[in-house]
Amino acid sequence: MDTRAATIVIVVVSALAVVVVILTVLVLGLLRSHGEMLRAFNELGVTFGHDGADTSGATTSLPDPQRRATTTVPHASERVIESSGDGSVHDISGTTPRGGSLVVGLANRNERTLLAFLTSGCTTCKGFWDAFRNDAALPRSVDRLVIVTRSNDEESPAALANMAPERHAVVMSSDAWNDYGIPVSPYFVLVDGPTNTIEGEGAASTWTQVGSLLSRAEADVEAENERRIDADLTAAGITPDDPTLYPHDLPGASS
Amino acid sequence: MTPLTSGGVTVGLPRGWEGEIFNRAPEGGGRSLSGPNEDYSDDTEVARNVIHVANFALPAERGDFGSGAVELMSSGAVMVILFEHGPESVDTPLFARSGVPQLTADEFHPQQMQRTLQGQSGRQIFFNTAGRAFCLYVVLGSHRQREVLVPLVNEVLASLDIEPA
Repeated sequence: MDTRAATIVIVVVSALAVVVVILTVLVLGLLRSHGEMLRAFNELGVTFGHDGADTSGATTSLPDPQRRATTTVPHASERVIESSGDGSVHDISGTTPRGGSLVVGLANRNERTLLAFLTSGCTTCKGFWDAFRNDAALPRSVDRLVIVTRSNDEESPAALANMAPERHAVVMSSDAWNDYGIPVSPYFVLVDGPTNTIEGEGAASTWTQVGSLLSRAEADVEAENERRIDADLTAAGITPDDPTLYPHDLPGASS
Repeated sequence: MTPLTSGGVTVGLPRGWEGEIFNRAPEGGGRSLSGPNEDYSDDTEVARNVIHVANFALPAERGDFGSGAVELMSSGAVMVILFEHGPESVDTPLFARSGVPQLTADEFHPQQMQRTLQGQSGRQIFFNTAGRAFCLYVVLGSHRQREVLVPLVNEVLASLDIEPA
């Protein structure tokens, strides 16, 4: 191989090396960008999966151990939306669309309250505003509905005054959105006053789906209670076939 | 306590309590009273501050003196209502009592309810403070439990801060 050919080979190899280095840098940049996007989605409460579950259009996820129920129902787009709150119950303090001040107490109460986090601008929310103005029936497990919007520096009180139903409280409080870590609107949180816990939560696009969410949350709570009671009985030495669980089998018991 | 503030009135709410301060526009129109520094000398009748505080879930639809809410009260429930009257009332004999009152169980009576409800009792007091005139109306869910419930009311009344007119 003469000197000229050797030079050409060296140049070509060098050029290829440079190209490889450039491509490596580009790929690393893309991977980094992809990672940052995934992290950003994660911070927004959106994750991606491929479990092929049903496509009910409602999502709820309660991974925090402080929360009693854990329900995950992936959306058609297979994303799970979850709040970033601390899982505890907060009383809500804010203003009303008509200019008053309002504090809604939720903790240590006898009733179960459904919080509906809505905005005046989102298209999906409009269906809920209409339903609530038209006295849509509350699910059986809910004692009252409280609508929570952002504060008046982010919402129009005048617009809300026109949309607000007469029969349900509307409180404007961005603090409540932060306290409960609301990721999207519309979003619903069911607060159980007697136990001072969040019993269920999630996003839904129709009032019917909200009822479905609550039914699932309720079923989860019942199942958890059953498991807890079984565990307590087992710990106390009472097994499923223990005769004390069946008083009609005891001597002298009436049948 | 969670502060509830509007119209120059602040009240502290114990955890789990709730309340609302709103303006009741006078019949036939009038100007809204948005704060304590509003000019009371205007001949036009101003809107009234109405303060509702309770240890149970207040329904969205209710009257100034608690109708629609008191019917829902359980035996452990209390509702405190403050209704502000116009500046022309401050110097009248009806509002001669000065300062936010503290209550005793003996003051409550079932016949002091706006509308008598079985088991409940009420107390109504007119007073002035900071140059403003108020009617205080308190309802107890159970007259028999007044010794237990009245201290809850007094705790809330003690937290009242009313700015001068």
